[in-house]
Amino acid sequence: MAKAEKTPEFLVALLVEDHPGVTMKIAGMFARRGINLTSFTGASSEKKGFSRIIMKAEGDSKVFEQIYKQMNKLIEVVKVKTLLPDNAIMRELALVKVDIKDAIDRQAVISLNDIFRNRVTNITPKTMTIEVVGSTGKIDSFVSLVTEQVNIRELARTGTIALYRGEDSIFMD
Amino acid sequence: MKDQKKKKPLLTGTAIIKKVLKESGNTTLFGYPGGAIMPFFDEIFGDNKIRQILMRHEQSAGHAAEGYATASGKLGVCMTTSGPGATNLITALANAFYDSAPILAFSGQVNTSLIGNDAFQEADLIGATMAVTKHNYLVKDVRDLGRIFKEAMHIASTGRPGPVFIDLPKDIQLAECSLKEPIPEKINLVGYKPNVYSKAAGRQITHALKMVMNARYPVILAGGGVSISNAYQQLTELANLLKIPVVSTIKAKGVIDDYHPYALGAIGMHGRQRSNFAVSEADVLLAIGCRFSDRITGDLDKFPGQGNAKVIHIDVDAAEIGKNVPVDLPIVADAKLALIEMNRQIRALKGKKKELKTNSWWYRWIKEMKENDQIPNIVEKGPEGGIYPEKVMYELDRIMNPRDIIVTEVGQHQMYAAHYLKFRHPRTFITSGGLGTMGFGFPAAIGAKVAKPRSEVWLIAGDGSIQMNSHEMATVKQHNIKVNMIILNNGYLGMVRQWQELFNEKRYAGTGLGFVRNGKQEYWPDFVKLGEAYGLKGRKVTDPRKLGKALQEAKASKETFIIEVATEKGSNVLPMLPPGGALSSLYNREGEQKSIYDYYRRLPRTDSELKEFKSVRVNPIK
Repeated sequence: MAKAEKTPEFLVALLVEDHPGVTMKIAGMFARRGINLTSFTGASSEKKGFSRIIMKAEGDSKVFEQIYKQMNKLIEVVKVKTLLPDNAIMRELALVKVDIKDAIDRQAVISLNDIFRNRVTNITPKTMTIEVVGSTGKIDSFVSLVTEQVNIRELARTGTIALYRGEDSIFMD
Repeated sequence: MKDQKKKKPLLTGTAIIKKVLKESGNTTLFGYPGGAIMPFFDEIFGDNKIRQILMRHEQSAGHAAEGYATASGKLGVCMTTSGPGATNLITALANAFYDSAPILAFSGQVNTSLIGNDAFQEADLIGATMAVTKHNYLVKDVRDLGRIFKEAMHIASTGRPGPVFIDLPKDIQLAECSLKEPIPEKINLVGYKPNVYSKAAGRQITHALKMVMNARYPVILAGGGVSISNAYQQLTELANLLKIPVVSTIKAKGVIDDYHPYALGAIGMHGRQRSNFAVSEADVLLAIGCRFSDRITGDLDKFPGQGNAKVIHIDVDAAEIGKNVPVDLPIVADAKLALIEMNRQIRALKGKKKELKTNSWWYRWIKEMKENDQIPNIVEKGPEGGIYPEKVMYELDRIMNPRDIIVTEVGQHQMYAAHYLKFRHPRTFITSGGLGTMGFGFPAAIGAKVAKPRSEVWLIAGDGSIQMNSHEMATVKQHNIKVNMIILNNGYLGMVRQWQELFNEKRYAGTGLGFVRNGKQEYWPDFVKLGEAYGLKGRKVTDPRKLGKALQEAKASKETFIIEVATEKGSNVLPMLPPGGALSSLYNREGEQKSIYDYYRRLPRTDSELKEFKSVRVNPIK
């Protein structure tokens, strides 16, 4: 399978005030400027009243610079930082529910799970639900390998979350 | 019992709003009532400290607030009811957002319990205003009201100013606030700290100065930011200190005296020839507070200096720097603070360092261009029997006082005004720059007159755009606001007609506002009669020699006076930069596209070229 030329992606981490509609404002900013969001994850942070949002978007450094500045202009956004693979710990979680026809299928999936160090979170005679944690690439390759063996009935992914590696952090002073 | 006596009565939501507005000195409100904003209108009823001006459309209320804000430099306030009232406001908010005007807009909303139920006159204004405001709020608790209003005013008028919208449910307006201090003394916005000046900016300014002093052909491009931050004195000082020509965007008209020897006028699609040519010959462009809109840059690959000039960009909004034009030296700072520092550093320079590399040819070239490009006094009528717009501007320029405020609508007349009228003071030219909103001018003129009652306010309008908000004639009559209206009636949507003539093979689709019957052009309305319907006086001018008298009559009138000028239909605003073209190649007054080098010699770039250049005339073609 020939891989298509990959559009460059960048990862942005935001610390935002947890107001109603703030997600809409941030996502709307990307839409308005014609930038494709590939992943958007947000939930409460270590500080009460503030959320941490991690986004992945397509675009080159010029697009990134513009979005960085526009994010900074939003009143609710307290911090904006870019994360690069070299300086960040990135994780994604996927829940994969596969169809199991027989023992051979089951065995095949279990041995794949061993290699990927996945956990089986739920099992029925006809299905198996697997929890995959790791980089986006790891989940991608598990998904492609498992499809060779069995049919994927349902797939849910969280999108990437990330923190700075080491002592660097994005937090309120 | 004693305790009860001491207890202050609880404030309602509307009382809190009124108090915040009064304490901040924002007592002029432009608005239009309706069901969901009734409580607030009731609160200010009979309060002689608050001036409420009833406009005839919500959009006008927004534009009037912007006219008020632009003329005065203060915050403009407008309010409407929910649903259609608030959606009507959106154009005005978008206009203010583009032109960075400090506006506080609030509208009523259905009761909090009804939000989301598709109630009568409900609309999602938070969603709708998101893209056209600097910030917006939905008030869900009366205890937040005082803080939100204070924050909104602060956000609207600091940093890069802009409109802030507040959605105000009816029950919140009526609710009583149980807080001891319903209006907080101080506000704390963790995510909003506009960077107006920093030490880093100071260091960048030193570098910028070096670049400018070493340039042969430096040009300053002043944008609307210079006007917004009131940096006009500093700009003039800089131009004098360094002897650099200054071009401006249309939003920056008046920031430098048009009679200043280095002031060249507006650049861009309908800018002056000399300004466009100066920028296209420049080797360093010092841009201050401008957005580099496509209307001023033309072809980005050839801007500025035909793509070879270095760009220094000062702006308070970091997001504007490098957005459209690659910048060699970014300076994030308020225009005024940056210019103060720049002038200070220049004055501190000693001896040889003070000498510029710029050569005298640049000034001769600039001077010659300026002389070639003067306002024409066309006394005769055009081939179709109309008065040339240039003549109107010529007469108005003679009669107007330097402190008079000129407000325009959008179209050809706007560009004629920007071209030919001479502005000597900041905030005397009010126009819709970024959004280009037809219908902006008349309400904005009302706002400007309210802000500056002692200044004469002239509205220059076309017959197309005046009809977008002509109902405001009722407002000027009711509130006795004097605006001298000059309506250039050519029976066409002239600017689009011009484009159709130049680029669409004269196919005038949808631009004619009248028709020809029995060889006679007819159009509606008769603006003088329209004025009469509103109880206003006016005069129709068909003879260019009678223009001056009509303008005098308007000036002497005690109330709004309408001058309708039968304008030549086929007149075009020229020179013009064709869309997407380079600044060095313009349509001239004869409608031919000509390059700068058809008029002037290419300026020398190296020392050897300079030697050769000294022996020839600057302008061999003239």
